[in-house]
Amino acid sequence: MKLPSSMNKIHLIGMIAAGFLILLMIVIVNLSDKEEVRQEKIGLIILGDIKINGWNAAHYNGIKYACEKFGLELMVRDNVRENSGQCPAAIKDLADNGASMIFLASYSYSREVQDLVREYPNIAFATNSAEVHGKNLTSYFVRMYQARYLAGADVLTYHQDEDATAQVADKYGVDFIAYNEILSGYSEHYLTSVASRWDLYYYDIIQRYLKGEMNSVKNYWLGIDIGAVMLSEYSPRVTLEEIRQIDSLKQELINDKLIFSGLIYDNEGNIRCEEGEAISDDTLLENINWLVKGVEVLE
Amino acid sequence: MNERIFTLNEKYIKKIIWQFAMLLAVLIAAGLLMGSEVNNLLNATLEKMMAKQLADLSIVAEERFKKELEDLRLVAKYLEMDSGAVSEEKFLQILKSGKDDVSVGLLRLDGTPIRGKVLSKWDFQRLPAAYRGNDVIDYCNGKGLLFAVPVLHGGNVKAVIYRLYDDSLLNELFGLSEYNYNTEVCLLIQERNGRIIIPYKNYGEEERKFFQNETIQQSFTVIRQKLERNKSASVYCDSSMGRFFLFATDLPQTNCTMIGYIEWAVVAGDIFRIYKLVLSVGTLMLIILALVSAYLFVMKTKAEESDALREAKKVAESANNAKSDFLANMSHEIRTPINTIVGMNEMILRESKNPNVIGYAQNSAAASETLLGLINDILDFSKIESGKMELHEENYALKDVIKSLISMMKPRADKKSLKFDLKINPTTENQLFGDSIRIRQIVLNFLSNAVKYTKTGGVELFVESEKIAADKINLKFTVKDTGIGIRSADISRIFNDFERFDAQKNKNIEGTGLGLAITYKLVKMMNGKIDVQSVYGAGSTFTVKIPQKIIGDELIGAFNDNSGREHEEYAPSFIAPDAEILIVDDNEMNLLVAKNLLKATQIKIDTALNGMICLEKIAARRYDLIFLDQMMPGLDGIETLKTARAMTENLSKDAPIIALTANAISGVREKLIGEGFDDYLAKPINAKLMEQMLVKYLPSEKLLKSGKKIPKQKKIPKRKAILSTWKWGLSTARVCRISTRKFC
Repeated sequence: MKLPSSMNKIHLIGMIAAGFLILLMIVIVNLSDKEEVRQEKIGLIILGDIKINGWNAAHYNGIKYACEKFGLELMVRDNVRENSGQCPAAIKDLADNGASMIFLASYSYSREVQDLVREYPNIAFATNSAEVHGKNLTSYFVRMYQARYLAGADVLTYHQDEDATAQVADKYGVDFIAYNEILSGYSEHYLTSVASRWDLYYYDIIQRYLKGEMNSVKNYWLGIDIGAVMLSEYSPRVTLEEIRQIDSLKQELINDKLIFSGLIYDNEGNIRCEEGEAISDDTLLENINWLVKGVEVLE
Repeated sequence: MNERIFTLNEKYIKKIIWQFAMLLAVLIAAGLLMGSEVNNLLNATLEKMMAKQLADLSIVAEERFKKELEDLRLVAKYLEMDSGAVSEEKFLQILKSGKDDVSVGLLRLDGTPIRGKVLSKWDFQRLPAAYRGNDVIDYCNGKGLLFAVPVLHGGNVKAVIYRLYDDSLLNELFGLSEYNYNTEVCLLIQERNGRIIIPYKNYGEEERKFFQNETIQQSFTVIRQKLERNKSASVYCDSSMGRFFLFATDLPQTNCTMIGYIEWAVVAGDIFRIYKLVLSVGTLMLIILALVSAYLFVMKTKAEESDALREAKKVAESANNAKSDFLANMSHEIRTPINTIVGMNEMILRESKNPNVIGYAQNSAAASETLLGLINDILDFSKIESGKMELHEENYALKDVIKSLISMMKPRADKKSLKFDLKINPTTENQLFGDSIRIRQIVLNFLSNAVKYTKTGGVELFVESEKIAADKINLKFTVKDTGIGIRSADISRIFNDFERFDAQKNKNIEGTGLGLAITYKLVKMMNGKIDVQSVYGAGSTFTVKIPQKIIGDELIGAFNDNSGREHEEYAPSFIAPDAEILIVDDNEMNLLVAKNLLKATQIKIDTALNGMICLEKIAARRYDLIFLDQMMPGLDGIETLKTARAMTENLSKDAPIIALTANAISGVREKLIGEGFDDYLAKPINAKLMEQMLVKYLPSEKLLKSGKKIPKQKKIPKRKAILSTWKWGLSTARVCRISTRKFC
């Protein structure tokens, strides 16, 4: 008899209709889902190997944290040497891969690529150098000087992304303060390190980027008040008295005490800041080409 | 059959409805799902749209703030160039523009005023930020909105100038009332911690309640989360207050947020109207499509149904044929053992002198006859059904037919103490041409029914004729009984297949219900007519008229009704003690029956169970005659015959070989004789015919009758029915002749 076959046809039609509708539904759901997720990609170009402790690993971990927090994809180009043409190549590579924001995480990159940056008006660039500015190039840094202020003087310290100074200091038995590097156990002369919370730094700047606030201000400078800079754990050679002193200084800074204010002379005897005045951030970042009274340069 | 198809149809329709209901349910479910999906998608899209619009609106607010800052910056610029006390005072006055609600001042790094109003450290928390060179827009809790810019001296900041607007001025200066078009959009500015700074114009108790609604607050929490990574955000909110889009955007470089809401219908109303229009049109189209396809489907179904009907008819027909074939075969199979019973009974009746034993054998014979009758009915019916029924017309004597009827019916009537009256017109023609066996069957059926359904009274049989042509009469039998009768409503149905009336009442009456149907069909075949008269409860009269040819002048005359159940002693028509014959059959029972039937002739009988044994025996011995079964396993009859004829070492080479066959369909005889048989004899063996065959083919010197030789007769018509001498053999022979194509 033919009845079963026609019954099957009905079944088939029903199945096809249902299948089609389900398919439609999936497409709709998928579409709406895709619309929801804004897939931004963040690029990081950095000088050294991101696995090497110090500047490189600290930055990498910081930006990784921030990207994970915002659910963004992170693309890293490390071991990019300055002034070698590698940085422009890395920018092109990242742009081709859909990066919407690129961090130039070494001081000299910005000067090298300032023209190239203009060719990518839809990509937001951020650099830790204040030397160059552009419509889509924002300077961004931490108020490292606040931590340096806490660290005080009479010891050796350095400001570079390797620990050659620490090695020498250790060799000659001079107490030293490290830079962006916890060296406890490395040397008995290590006191503490000037440290930055790059995770907070990157979180803040990426948030500003996402909120479309990148262009409001020329320079972003995160300070001790939000914990972006600090001194790492002190070595046992730092006394309790010293720690208390540092703590009270830190509290002043958190309360927005301005370090570069009041009467300041340079080491040539010129007044650089009058009584009741404060040196503006822009000047601090772009125009400090003098050394304060008492600084000697050894050559 | 019609009923069956009707049920099928109904079931079919039910299924169709069920399927369509399912389809519809799926469609509705899909529609609902799609509707909610579209709803969500649309709301999500609108949320984005609203967020973007708000981001644009926020620029307006920002611009106003910037304008404030520009005023201050301009003053700051002048003061950078000329910082005399007089000009400071003058510019501050300009900024204040004489309003009591506006505070202005020039502040030192420690917060003390150089000029203007003192401002608490807590009201101006971001003074250090200003001293770092930044502009400040902040809301000062409980005071108002503060704008401040640094006054530079080279790269350094020497003072900070500020202007503070009191809360009371904010709505007028910064309110977004012009964007609250048609009071549909409600926009306001608040501190990021949620405190409303600049409400819209008619912000009142109700609005406060609105923002305090739990669902609304939850939605704003969601917005806050979205603002973590977005410039602006909007959320669709279905609250107890109604459906709204809520939105917010942070104002950069300030501690302010712009928030607002709009009724869902204002934004989405038109879009949803379009969507609903599309949906309803789509639904309408879908329904039309469904109806069209339903219509097409029904049409298709109808076409398929008639296909199905044709198919079903074909199937039913072939099933019917199979049934008929099956019945034919079964009847044959049953008939074979009955044949043995009948044969053995015949032997008992011949040989026993004990009246008791004879009585038993007669009962047994009667039962066998009934059984055979039933089987014959079934067989006849199946033959009629499959269109294989044929009439076998020949010359016969009406007297013999009537005798046979009497001999069969009288004992039955006697047994029920019914009167059995016979009224035969003596001028009825006796020598007729026709199928006497079928005629006898017809009348027998009427008589049997009459006896069956009559409890008291009697049965009468009238036999007469009506001349319809010079050589043709209508032979007329009338059977009248005083039985239960038939309801007038049932009379038209009595000739239907399997019909039995008053089933409850007649449950003790045996029969297949086929008798009258067969009778009716037989009469039709003979161009006869049946007439039934009946009074329910009083009796029935069946009249049948069958046209028959007259072949002789002899009349039936006065009928001597002396046949009965008396046992006639059998005597063989000849004896042949010197004759020697061989019977070959693979069925031992058949051999036994044949041997016994010929016992009285004193012929020496040898038997063989198959062709090979037969060949061995004829080679070694001379037989006067050989009966050879046609169908045997191994060597069959024809093969055995051919081998025997070809054999050189064959002592029985000139012995006639007669085929025994159950295959009695027309043309078989010719075929067998063509193959080389001398003659053929139908199985089961009719003793009389067998005796006649022997008389014909045995050497005449070996045939004796009471010691004398009997003269050779003319060839006897093979199929002539011998009614009186071996009454039970008749129907058996008949059955055999008309069936058994396959299974013998």
